[in-house]
Amino acid sequence: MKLWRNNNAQQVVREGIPVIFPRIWRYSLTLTGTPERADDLAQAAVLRALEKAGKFEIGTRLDRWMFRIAHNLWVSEIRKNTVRAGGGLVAIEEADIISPEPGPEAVAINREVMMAVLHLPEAQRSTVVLVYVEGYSYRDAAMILDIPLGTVMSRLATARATLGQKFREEGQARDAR
Amino acid sequence: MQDRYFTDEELVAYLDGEDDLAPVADIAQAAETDAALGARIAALTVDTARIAASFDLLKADERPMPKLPEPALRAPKFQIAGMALAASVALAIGIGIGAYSSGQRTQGWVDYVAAYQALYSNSTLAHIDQAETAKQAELDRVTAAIGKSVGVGTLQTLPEVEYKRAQVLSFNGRALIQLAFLTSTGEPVALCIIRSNVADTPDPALSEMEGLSAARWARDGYDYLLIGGNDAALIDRIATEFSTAQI
Repeated sequence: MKLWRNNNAQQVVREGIPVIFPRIWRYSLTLTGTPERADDLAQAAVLRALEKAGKFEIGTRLDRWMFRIAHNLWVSEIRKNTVRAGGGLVAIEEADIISPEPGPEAVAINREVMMAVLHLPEAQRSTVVLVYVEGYSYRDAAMILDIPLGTVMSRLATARATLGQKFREEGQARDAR
Repeated sequence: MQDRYFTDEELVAYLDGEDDLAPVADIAQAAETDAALGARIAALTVDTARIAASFDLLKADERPMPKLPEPALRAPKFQIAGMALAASVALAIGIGIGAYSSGQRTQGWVDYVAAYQALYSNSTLAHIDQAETAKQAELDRVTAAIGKSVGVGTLQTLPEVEYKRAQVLSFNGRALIQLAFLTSTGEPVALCIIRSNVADTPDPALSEMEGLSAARWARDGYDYLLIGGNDAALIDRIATEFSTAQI
């Protein structure tokens, strides 16, 4: 019966990928910093998921499983090349990510908010995106990142303190204009 | 000064509604009367809905999804046949279908490699600049995964291509190695090798996969795919060189 189960899991993974792909790409971008590198990571995650599909347990969350695959790929294989290419850092530049067209004030604020998150150190950035953008619980985020629950909490506490201060300062600057 | 009993982590869990990770009722009660605690909570407060909404700017839904490789045919028929027929008959059918599905699996790895290679660009490889000894050490480690040994010199006999790096990949639990090159015009090309029991076909067969020129041959228990760019003549030359050199 193992083969039957594997084939079913294959099908579940294959059918689920198109639905989950945009989120995997978005998370890949927050890790890699450019759309092109996000394409590479998301593609590699899709291929790895198809390859390991027989190990997916039907009834558990496919999205969480795929996020974990993407994160593992980034940590174990892709980050070192990206970091080497960037001279030690994965720099995230706004111009690489979104077009510089001016928009309404609300869009401008959203850009500031998103870039503030993307400029957090990688450990905080990935945790913030998983919890506040992707909506994962602390426990799910700990599982995806393969870190203790307490580490998720401390990363979020540090990130919230940084972001809170930044948003308040920018809000005051806007109010003053 | 009750606030010293609550860590920032607990306050954040409280703000995020992770109720089993923070003494929620105690924090809520203390915050009503303790101004310092109220200030700490305010300092940790951010508009998380706005953070979530801000990432819509990435327009992830509009990003084209790569084409998924076609699934390799599996062997469920073997299971059904095995249950329905006498053991000897089932064994015979099993062997037959096993041979057939093994061929399908072999085909499958080529599709995966082609889809993966289609995402390579010049900048995937251009920055890689390893010293000769580092290249050889990497090559030794990678080729050992499929029981081979390849000298970096044999990969650098053609002036049109520069050898860049080697990686171990995996297909259905089997090691698959990828040796990556850049052509003199900046096109990424990969030589992928996997163990196989197909018959030797040392003359490279040219084809096009995922819009890329490709050549395939088999020799001494290994299946080879060279793929990249659109210069079929170049791919043919490189493939012939590599096949002749018995890499």
